[in-house]
Amino acid sequence: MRILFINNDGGGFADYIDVPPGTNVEWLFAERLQGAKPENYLIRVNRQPAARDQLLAEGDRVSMTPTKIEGATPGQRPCPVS
Amino acid sequence: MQMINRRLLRLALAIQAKLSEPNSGHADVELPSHCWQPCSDLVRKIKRARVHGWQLAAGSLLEDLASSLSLLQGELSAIQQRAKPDGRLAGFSAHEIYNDLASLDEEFDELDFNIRQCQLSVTTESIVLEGVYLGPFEIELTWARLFERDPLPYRIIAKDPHPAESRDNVTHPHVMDELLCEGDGKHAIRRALREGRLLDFFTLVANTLRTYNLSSPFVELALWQANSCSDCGARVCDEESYACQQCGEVICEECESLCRHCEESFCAGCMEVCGACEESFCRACTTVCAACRRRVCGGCLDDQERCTNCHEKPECEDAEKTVGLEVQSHGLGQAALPA
Repeated sequence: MRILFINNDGGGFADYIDVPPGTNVEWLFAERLQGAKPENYLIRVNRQPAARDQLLAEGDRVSMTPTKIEGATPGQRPCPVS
Repeated sequence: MQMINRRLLRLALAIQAKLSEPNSGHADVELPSHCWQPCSDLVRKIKRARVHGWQLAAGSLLEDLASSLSLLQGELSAIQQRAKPDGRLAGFSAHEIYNDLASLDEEFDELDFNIRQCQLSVTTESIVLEGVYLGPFEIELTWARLFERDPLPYRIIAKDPHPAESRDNVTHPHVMDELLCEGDGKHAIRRALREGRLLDFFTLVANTLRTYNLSSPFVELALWQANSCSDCGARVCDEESYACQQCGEVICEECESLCRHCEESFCAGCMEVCGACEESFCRACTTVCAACRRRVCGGCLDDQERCTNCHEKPECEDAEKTVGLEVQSHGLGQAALPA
C-alpha cells in the first residue's frame, strides 16, 4: 500500500513509499530511522500523534520529526543566514 | 463530521493562491560551493596530519569531514529536488494547507495571520533552557517569500524578551536579530518550506527553539545573565562576581579588594590607602588625621586622632622650640620667639 512518508530528520525527505499491508508505526520507524530512538521523535499519522502499534492504511501521511534539534552546527561558527 | 473552520479555510485558500502563482518556487539554482570548500580544506588537513603521523588529529578531522559531507549531501539533494520539472508534492493543495493550519491551531497557543501582508505566525509556550527563562517566541512566516533563502522568509520574535545581558539582540542562544541559526534543522526546515508543509515547518522551528546546543550558541546560557566587572570590564557570571559593599558595583574575582579591617569586598574606587601604614582599607574603616588631614586606618590613629606620623612630630618640634628660648631669671619678661 502507498503512504506519504515525511522524514524530518536530517535531509527531511518527503515522498510516497510502498509498505506491506499490516505495517504499523513501530515497524516503519525501525525500518526508516535505523538506530534512532522513538522517544526522541514526534511521530504523527495524518497529523495526529500515533501509538506504536497503530496500523497504517492506504494514503496515510506519516511524519517523523525529531524533538531535539540543535541550532547551529558543531564545528561551524553560528550564523543567522548560511 | 468535523466542522470546517472558515477562518482557516479562507487563510488556506489565500496561501494556496499565492503559492500557485506562476514563477513562484523557481528560485535560481546555485551549486553549494560554500559547503564544498570546507570539505576540500578538511581533506587537505587530514592528508597533512597523516603525513606527520598525527593520528589523533586525523581522526578528529575525519569526524569533522563526516559532518561537513552530510551538509554537502543535504544541499545537493535539495538542489536536485528543485531541478526537477515539478519538484513539489501535493503540499500546495488548499486541502493540505487547511489541514496543516487546523493542526497548528491545536498545537500552538496562538495562531495569527494577516492575509494582506501574507504573514502567518504561531507562538510557542514559554521556553526555559537550563533554568534560564527566555519567554515565548512568535514564529512569523511570510508565505509570499516561502522560497527565498536570503533573507529567510521567517523570523523569530521574542514575546517576553529576556535577552543575554551582554547582547540585547540575542533573545535565545540560537537567535540573533530575530534570525534563527538553524544548525541541524536547516535542511528539514528548508525542505518543509519548499514543499509547503507548514505544520512540519513550524514544528521543526519550535523544536529547535526548545533545544540548547552548548557547542555553538551566540551566547552561552551560563553567561546569559553575566555582568561586566566595573574595574576591568571582563564578563563574569553570577557565581564568580562580587558586589562592592560601598557602591554596589559588580567586580570580578581578580579585581575584588578586601578591607584589612572589616574584610568586606570593595571595588578599587572605594578603597583607601592608609597614609601611615600604606595598607588598603575601605573608606568607612579610615579616619582623617586631625593634624595632617590624611586618611589613616584605626590602627595608625592615636587618642587625639593624630596619625603615627603626626604623633611623633610634635615632640620634636617642642624640643626645638625650648632650645631657642631665653629664660628671664627675675620675674616675667618678653622674649623673642622663633617663627
